[in-house]
Amino acid sequence: MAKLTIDGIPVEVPDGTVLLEACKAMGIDVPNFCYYPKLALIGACRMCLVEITAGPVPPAVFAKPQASCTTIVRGDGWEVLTNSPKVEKLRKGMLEFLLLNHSLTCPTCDMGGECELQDNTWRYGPGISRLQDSKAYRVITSLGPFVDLNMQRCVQCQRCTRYCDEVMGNRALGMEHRGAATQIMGFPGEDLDCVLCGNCIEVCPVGALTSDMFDTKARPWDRIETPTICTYCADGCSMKLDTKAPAGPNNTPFANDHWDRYAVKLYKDRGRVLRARAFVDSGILIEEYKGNNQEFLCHKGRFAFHVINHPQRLTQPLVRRNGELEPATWPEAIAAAATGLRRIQETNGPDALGGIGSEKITNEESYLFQKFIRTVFGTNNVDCRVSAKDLRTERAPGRTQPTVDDLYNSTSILVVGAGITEENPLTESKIRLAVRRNRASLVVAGSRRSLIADETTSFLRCKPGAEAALVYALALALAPSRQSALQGAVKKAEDATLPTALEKATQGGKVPMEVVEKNAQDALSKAQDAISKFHLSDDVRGVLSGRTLEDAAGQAGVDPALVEAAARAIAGAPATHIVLGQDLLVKAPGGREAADFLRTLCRSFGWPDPAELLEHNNSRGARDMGVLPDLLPGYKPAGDASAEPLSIVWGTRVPGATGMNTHEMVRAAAEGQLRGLYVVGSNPLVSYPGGDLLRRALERLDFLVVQDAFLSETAIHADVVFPAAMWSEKDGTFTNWEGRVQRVRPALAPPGEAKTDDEILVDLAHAMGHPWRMQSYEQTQAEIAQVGGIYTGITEEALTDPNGAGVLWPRQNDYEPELVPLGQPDFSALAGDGAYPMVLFTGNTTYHHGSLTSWDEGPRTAEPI
Amino acid sequence: MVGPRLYHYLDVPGQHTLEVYERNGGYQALKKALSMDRATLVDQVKAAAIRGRGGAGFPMGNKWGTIPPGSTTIYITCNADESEPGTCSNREVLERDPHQLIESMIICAYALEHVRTCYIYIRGEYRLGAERLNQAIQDARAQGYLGDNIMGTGFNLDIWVFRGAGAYICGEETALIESIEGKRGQPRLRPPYFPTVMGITNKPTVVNNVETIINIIPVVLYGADGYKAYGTEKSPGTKLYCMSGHIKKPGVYEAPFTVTLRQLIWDFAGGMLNDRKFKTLIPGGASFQWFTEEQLDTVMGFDEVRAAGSNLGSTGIMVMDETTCVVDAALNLVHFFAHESCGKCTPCREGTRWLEQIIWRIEHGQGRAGEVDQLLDITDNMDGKCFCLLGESAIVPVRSSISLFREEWDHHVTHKNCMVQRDYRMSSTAQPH
Ligand SMILES: Cc1cc2nc3c(=O)[nH]c(=O)nc-3n(C[C@H](O)[C@H](O)[C@H](O)COP(=O)(O)O)c2cc1C
Ligand code: SF4
Ligand code: SF4
Ligand code: SF4
Ligand code: FES
Repeated sequence: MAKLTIDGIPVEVPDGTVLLEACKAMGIDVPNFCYYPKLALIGACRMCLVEITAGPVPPAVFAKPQASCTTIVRGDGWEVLTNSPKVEKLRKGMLEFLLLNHSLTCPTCDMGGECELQDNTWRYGPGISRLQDSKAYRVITSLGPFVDLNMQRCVQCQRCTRYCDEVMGNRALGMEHRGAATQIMGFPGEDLDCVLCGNCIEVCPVGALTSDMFDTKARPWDRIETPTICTYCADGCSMKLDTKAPAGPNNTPFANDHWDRYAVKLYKDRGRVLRARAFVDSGILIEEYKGNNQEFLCHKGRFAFHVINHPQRLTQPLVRRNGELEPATWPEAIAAAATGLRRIQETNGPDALGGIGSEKITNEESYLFQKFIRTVFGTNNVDCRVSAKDLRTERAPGRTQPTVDDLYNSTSILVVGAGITEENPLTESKIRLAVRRNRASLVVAGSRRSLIADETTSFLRCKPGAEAALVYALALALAPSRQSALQGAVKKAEDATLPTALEKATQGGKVPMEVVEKNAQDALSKAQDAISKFHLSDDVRGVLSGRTLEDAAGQAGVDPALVEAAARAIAGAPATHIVLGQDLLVKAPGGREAADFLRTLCRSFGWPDPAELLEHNNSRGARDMGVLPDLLPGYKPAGDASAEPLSIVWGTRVPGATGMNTHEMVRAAAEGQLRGLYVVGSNPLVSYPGGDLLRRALERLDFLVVQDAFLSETAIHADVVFPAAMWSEKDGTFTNWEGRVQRVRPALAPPGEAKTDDEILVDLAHAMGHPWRMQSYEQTQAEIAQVGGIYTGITEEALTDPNGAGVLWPRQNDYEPELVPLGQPDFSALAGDGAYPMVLFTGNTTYHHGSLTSWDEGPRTAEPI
Repeated sequence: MVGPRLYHYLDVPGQHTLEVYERNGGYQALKKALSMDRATLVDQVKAAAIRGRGGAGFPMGNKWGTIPPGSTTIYITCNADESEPGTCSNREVLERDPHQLIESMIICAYALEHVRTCYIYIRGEYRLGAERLNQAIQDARAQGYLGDNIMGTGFNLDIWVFRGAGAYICGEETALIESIEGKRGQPRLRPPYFPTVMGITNKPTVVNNVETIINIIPVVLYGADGYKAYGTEKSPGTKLYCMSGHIKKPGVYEAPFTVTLRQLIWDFAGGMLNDRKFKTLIPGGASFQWFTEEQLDTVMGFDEVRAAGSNLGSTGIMVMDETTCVVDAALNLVHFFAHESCGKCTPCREGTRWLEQIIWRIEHGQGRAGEVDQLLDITDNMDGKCFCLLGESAIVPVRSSISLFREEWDHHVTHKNCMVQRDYRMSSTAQPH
């Protein structure tokens, strides 16, 4: 710990703390621009200078003011002044310099009112400028359809260029010229050529980089910011949706012409989402929920919000009459749906009905949906998985599964079968930061080359679909490699306890012998402990015995020597964090078994369980809620044993037998056994991997009800279409792949007569003879905890705590899933089929996620489809 | 080579060729060094206390001592960026005696052992120098002085010439390293980027000026004691003084550190031009305090000049006579700094430009009352607040000339003209924009 007094107030912080952070922690504001917690320190703007009058540093430090953002405090006796007359004068001087060539276009600047330069000038600046000369010419330009650049407002903090390089790995932004002519730029004459995340806009403390899509749509005080969670990938970034204040006159109340025009601009975009933003970790002290992404959003999160405002959003129910879908009232539509579904239930039995849920709707809605199917329909034919090929029994995340933060702090990471840059951008950025900041060893294995592969020399690229074989190859290399690494560590630790080594470690008496001895003993027992925990289970041995690295690597199409080298890079780590992606888990043949095998292997190694990435914003939540044919809420296997207690809570008999999964339902529908289907919040005709079969199935169905925000490809085939609200219009929670439950809030009312999914479910349940009552999301939460035995202790306070990031339920509930018994993988079956030499791999891209983004002008502009 | 004289053979025709260089005793020091024990060699360098000629005067041996023990990859980089105004001693060596530098670098590399690659970062404008260096490297390699297994000792070394792109800041050692890494030339944060700890690709890197490095030859040939026979105790050896301005014979002069300014001007450089009256001078390039008549007897050693209130710097001695307008001179120098500011930090980027704008107006009869004090206030807002020494240096000509010749500045502001009878204006008449 380091002991300091700042402005006379004593404080203790951990050694290695940045002085500016120590001030922040005490609530002392130190103005700054170039400091940014995630980025390398550069000390460029000189805004944060303070006086250090004492401390364990060379005396030269006391002679002139020091940058608090680059001063790392260690040891005792620091005395720091942030409010001395000298500091006050230099702040005035620095702000005067920054404003000299600043265009002062605050009245038309998007950042006006929330600008760090404005705020710092307000607090610390001179009120006047002494400049009598011309301002420097600085350029105003557009960097493409997303980002605008106004160099006249730039404070040259280099946050944007560093973020682009250090966090995104893109290097699309750089600096040109020098001195007062220095400017930020992309490649000359070209639009930005990058992942178009727009994070440069976010981190810019001033209005130099702004969103072209927002561009003077509203002043900060005319906006309402709704904190919520992104609806695209399973990383679950927190974000704010900007809308205009709903209060005020609808039509022009002012007689005066001038005010008329003002009012037109002021109220023009009401009822629309104007922008999506993250939470800037700015120099200004603000307390708000920042999630685990802080300022980060990817292209989809930041720019694919237009879908909410889309003119083709469904605004009223549709009912098929004489072969045509026609507008209807809610009572008509509900009655039509209830009648159609009841008829099938009565004539063909409950198992002729099925429900396809969604990995996008909230936890509470998912919970109610599966409850609806299980109780109102009376069947377990329910599934939320639409795009996956492999629909084996799902597993819950355990408490040792790494989180995004664990990856950020990790020193050894293995990524398998993930297009992670495209599909899980936040997770990827944290891995990049781990490599760059902690020098973590990184191995990337898979058939898709993602940008993260640039961060390592160990990129193992296998044949498409051969991810599983690569996993076994890696395991065959890792097992001996880990053993020898651990033995080597023990040997080294033993050597360090020899008298000569101890003598040397005292550095000629500088360090006392007792300390040296104790350190050496501690290190030795740690090494011995690690090797004692290393024990390959019988299951693992069973799989590995009789196989060779050469064989497995050959099947994967990877050089065995590369696999060995990669294994060496991570084998010795006390904890290697493994991340498994969609390519392995649901696309590659045998991927699931390989993942089970890895989980068992990790336990043998004393490593945490591998993290399993999922596809959608609430893929985890939908599974947790039991929108699955074989699992009830809380991963309880379907069957009489678990159905019994549930029936008591729900007050209705819950079917015991396992239901049909998506594939089985589609097949059953095509064959005429499944007669009625209720699809909520998904568009199988676009996302389901067997299009033809599904088309036949939909045509053959007696009755199809679709609940969606758009008249989707699937909805066109429906008998009844319910217009549903989107995530921007709902209260509830999403759970990201980590198992982090986070709060979703409505920014707008649903368009027209559209309703939230839970409202529709309640109405339909009523009509089908189950008197459900509308309940708040909190009430549903309580029911989930009671029924599922998970998600306990999730309160509004815990969800909105600005110092936390939602509730990580597997840790909260100390959840530890059982290992699955391992079978014998058949390597030859994994290697593809000679008759079909081409392999089609589907997945999400940088600009598109699921089918929703195809409605959005942001991604369409970035990458036309 | 006779005595520790660096320029001894400079005027010999063809000295830049390997043949003539060898005829004049070239590569004898290398042979001797290769036969020496590394520890002895390092001790000799430390004992010789070769002061860094790049500006700071930090002894070369001490710099070696800051390399973390156990480092297995070390780079040596020669700073030949020589961009300080009035400074041109390196150019003479680079163009006319390049083998001297090559030989010295090989000796340094051999002494430090874990050096496989050296760089010479040469000012972009020194085209001839770069050509001659490249030729010299090629010839030395052909002769077995460079490359693999140097002279049968098993020691391997390569030297690469890296040409700058015209930025003064790239002479600053950390900006130089950024530039060698292919990045934008901006100084790095220290700590952690002390070159000898985290330099090129985060490996220990010794950066030394050309003139510093070539001092290793006399140290090897005559030993530390022989080397220290010249100069003062704290500043041993000789120095290459770059004389420019209103003097009869501008040029580079080699003299022991015991020489005085008066001797340099009147004995070496032939006295004041047109025998006019001496007014002021800058002893160490653009960046340091000006001297007047009173300091002319200062001994030109590192510590002596510091004691007299300035700095030896690059020993670019710029002499000004009575026809010099100090506002004009300050404008010229501030223009240089404004033009060369890298733009990384606020006070230097914005401050230098502003200073130049105001001084230009004062010089051109458009100054306003109070602006001289305002200039001082602006320099105060920069002083000690810039990221590197460039910005800190930029305020020196303003402060120094105002403190020494305030009445001239005030005259400019009140009378809108100059009180000095001058022959010509030294600063540009173009208004800064
Ligand atoms: C703005 C600036 C410019 C510099 N330019 C040069 C230069 O052109 N040549 C040089 O040798 N050192 C220059 N230096 C000093 C170097 O940073 C470094 O101290 C020197 O190369 C070390 O070599 P030495 O120990 O041999 O003096 C400059 C320093 C600053 C702050
Ligand atoms: S554009 Fe913004 S983020 Fe980038 S350097 Fe300028 S002020 Fe900083
Ligand atoms: S799509 Fe994923 S990474 Fe992108 S903003 Fe949304 S949650 Fe974050
Ligand atoms: S003082 Fe600042 S702007 Fe000037 S050269 Fe140094 S780092 Fe660059
Ligand atoms: S120098 Fe510290 S915040 Fe910029």
